[in-house]
Amino acid sequence: MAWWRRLYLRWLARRSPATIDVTLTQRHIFIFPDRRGFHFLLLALLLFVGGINYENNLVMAFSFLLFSLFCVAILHTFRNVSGLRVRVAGYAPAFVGGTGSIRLHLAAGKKGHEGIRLFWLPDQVQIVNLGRGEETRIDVLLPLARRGWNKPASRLVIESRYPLGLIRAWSLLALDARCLAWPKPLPGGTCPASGGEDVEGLDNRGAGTDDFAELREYQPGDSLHRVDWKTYASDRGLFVRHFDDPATGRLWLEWELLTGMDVESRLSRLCYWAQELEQAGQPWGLVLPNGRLAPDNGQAHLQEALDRLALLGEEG
Amino acid sequence: MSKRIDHYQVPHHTIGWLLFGAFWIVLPTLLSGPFSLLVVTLGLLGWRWWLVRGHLTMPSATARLVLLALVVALILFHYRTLWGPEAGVALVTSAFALKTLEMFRLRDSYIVLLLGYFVLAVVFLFDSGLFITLYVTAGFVIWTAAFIGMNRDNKLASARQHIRLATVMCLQALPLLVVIFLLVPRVGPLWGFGLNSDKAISGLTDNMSPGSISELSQSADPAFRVTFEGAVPPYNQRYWRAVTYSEFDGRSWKQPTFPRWRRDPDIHFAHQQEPDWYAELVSQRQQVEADYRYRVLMEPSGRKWLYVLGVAFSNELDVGIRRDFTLHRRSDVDQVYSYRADSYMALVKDAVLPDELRQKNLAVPPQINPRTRDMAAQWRAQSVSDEAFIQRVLQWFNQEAFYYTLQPEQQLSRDSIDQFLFDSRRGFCAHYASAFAFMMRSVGIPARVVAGYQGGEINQLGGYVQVRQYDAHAWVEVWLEGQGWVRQDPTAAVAPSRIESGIFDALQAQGDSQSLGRIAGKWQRMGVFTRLSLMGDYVNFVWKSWVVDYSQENQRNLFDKWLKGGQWVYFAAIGAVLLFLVAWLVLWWLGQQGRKVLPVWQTEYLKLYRQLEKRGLVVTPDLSPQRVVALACLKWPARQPAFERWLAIYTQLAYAPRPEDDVQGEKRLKRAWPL
Repeated sequence: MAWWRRLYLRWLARRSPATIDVTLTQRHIFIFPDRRGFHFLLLALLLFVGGINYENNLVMAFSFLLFSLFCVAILHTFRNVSGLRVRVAGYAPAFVGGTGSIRLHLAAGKKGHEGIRLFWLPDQVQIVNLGRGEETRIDVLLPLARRGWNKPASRLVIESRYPLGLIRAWSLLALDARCLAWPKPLPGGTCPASGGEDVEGLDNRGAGTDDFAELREYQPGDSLHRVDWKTYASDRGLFVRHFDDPATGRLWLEWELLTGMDVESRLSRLCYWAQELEQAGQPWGLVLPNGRLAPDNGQAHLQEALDRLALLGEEG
Repeated sequence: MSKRIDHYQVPHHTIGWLLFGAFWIVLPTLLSGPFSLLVVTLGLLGWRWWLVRGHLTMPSATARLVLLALVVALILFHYRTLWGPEAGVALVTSAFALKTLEMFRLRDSYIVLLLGYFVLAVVFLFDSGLFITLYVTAGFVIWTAAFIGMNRDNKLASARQHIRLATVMCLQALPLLVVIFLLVPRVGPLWGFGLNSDKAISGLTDNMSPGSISELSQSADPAFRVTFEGAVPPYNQRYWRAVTYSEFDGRSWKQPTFPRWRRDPDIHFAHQQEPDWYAELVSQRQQVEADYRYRVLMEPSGRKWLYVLGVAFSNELDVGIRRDFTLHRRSDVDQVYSYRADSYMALVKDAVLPDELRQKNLAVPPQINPRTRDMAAQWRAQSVSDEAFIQRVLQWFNQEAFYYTLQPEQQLSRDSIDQFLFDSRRGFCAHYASAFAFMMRSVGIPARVVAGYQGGEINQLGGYVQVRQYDAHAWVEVWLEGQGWVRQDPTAAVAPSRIESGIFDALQAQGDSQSLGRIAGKWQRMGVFTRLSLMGDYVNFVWKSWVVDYSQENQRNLFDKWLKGGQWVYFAAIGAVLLFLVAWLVLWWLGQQGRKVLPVWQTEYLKLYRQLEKRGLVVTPDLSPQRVVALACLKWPARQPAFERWLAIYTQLAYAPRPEDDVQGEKRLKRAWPL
């Protein structure tokens, strides 16, 4: 990194340090005409020279009016960005290599904000319009490069050219935000599971389902595979079949069972099989070097498992 | 359409402003151009509109080329060039309309927007009246609304919001505009490149054929306006000299012309070496006071000459005096122009006439108009002097059945003056001047035709003389021994009311209602319209003399007035204070932006905390308000109920759910102040 760039970043870090809640003020906002602005000024200059040359005061006045309008536009563009409150409000995880997002809570100040563009990378722009006093939540996309916590590599750009599109007002925010990346599923191999009837894979899928115990009312997060469609069809309500899992019938996905692979591949493999087992609709648990997750089933369970996989070896 | 074009669309809430604005912008330019171009250009905008409505598609690249070719062909056909200002402006205007059919990308729409401003500004090259200024201003606001809308990526936006914001922004731009307009120094043209208008501006021309001035007389356009310092000359003395014609070819009168590359040798500018004739004038001037002092505000004429009374001197740097005692400007008057002049009515012009000039002003083509020559020769022989001869001719004009009319018969024969004087006897001022000058020359009296304006109405509102094109006039100057050039006006002999009160009265006196009907301004002379037209002209006069003609000199005067002669220090001090105030305001405003506004209960608590601290209570910021109040109760037990009441309201405001702006609660808290 060039020394001047380092110097610039240090200055920027001092000027607007990382934060999770910020209201944009002149501390954070930069403003400068962009190319179209210079074209506009060029037009004003052209008319000015024309006015001088033809000794035409009104053409000159017209060019002054263009220039004054430009100056007024500076204030309006600044105002359009200023006063916007940005808060970090969570994240939406995804697999490594995919695109997660960081959820931001935007609140307008005393005035509205038009055509606010937010992005970390210039090709993933989100546009927000906020009337005065309005609030909104947006997910700003963030490509996930590595497993675990991902922080935006650069500062969040918040920019706007409204109302005339001649001047760009922008903010470079360092947000104390992070997004979790799950390991990328790695298909193949045998199911690294212990317990159940067969550790060799899913040839005997649904083994545990033999020991059907009772019907339990459906709760959000239950696997659709275990919904008792017969009762649902006969209009008696939505139930799931509950299994009285004998100790031998439980599946435990185990870290230790995967050998001869590096950490990331192991996690990816576990990730793959977790999804497979979830698809199969039987209860499964997870044993990792740093703890275990009791067997269960459903989206919430899968998510918990994926999060644990993602966080293995991560701080915080 | 090629495929790589991404599908950019003008926002639906903006297309209305864009098209309306484009229509507004092209209208004035097109109205002064050929009709066919107007139709084609409006057709292009109509196409754009139908396209929006979904009835038509964008024209293909070939179609656009064909349209462009059509437009260029029309302009070439009408103007015979693409290069002059009118043709150029027509070209830019229709190119602008054509470009609206080519908005495929955001970039295209920016080009359209910038071109629109340009075309709008160009309108001022041809008109600078107050009305057109208001028109352009309205166009500016509409176009700015389109500009704003183009940048609004919001489906919920409405067209009304754009025009509102555009109006607000333009109003905010106004103060800055005024300051810049007043303060930016006016410099002369950077390179000599006049408008060289190929458009016929109505006004006097380089030569005078018998019909030329009568055409001019049908126009009520303003020619110039004069503000006098002191006395205003009576109507019949208001002969505004502009140009003299001394070359006669039997039909029309011309002034000597010089090739473009040669300097006019007969003109004297300040700081040049004084020629003899000028030195003589100056020496005469030193013995008398100026008769009239005035300022003339001139409409563009496309010519160099200025309008003055008698012999006039002007101290404008770019004004020179010609050998025929008319004032000329160094460059063509293509824009509104104003100048000061002092007129001396009694100076003798050419006490001695150089031979060369005498020859020039006696020359007539041989053998034409024999009857006129014979009669003139006979009368001269019968008269005791040149003056007596002139009187006789004027008397003849007065007593014979000569008729003053805007519609004379065409005289095409070689002996047109014979035909006029002895057969038709119907003519306009140019006919009478031409015939009179010919008669003088034929008997050896040097004579020349002078063209200019005569009369002019006094605008009571503004106290200035307003001269219109229909006041154009031609008369004669003869050179007499010992008197120099003397004005003689044969028209005054034929129709005295023309000279006493103007063309309308003259035509009325003759009962020539047909001619009267042809004068454009006649409705302005009827009852209520008279007043309206006077007011309109006055407003335009004020506008033009203060804004359109705001020049280096005005600027200096303005500063001098403010500074009262050299009090620069005060001016600088006031300026600095103002600048400081503005900067401070801007900074304050910036500081206000985004400052968190604390709720009232919080500020009230902070106030209380500080007060308690001041009164000796030992507290630290990490204590809760409840704790702080409890400590205060211990220290001042008498006030305990007051403290508790305050705390109750505070707690309610701070923690209980309530509407955002609970003004009542805030008031109660303030009233419960416990100290």
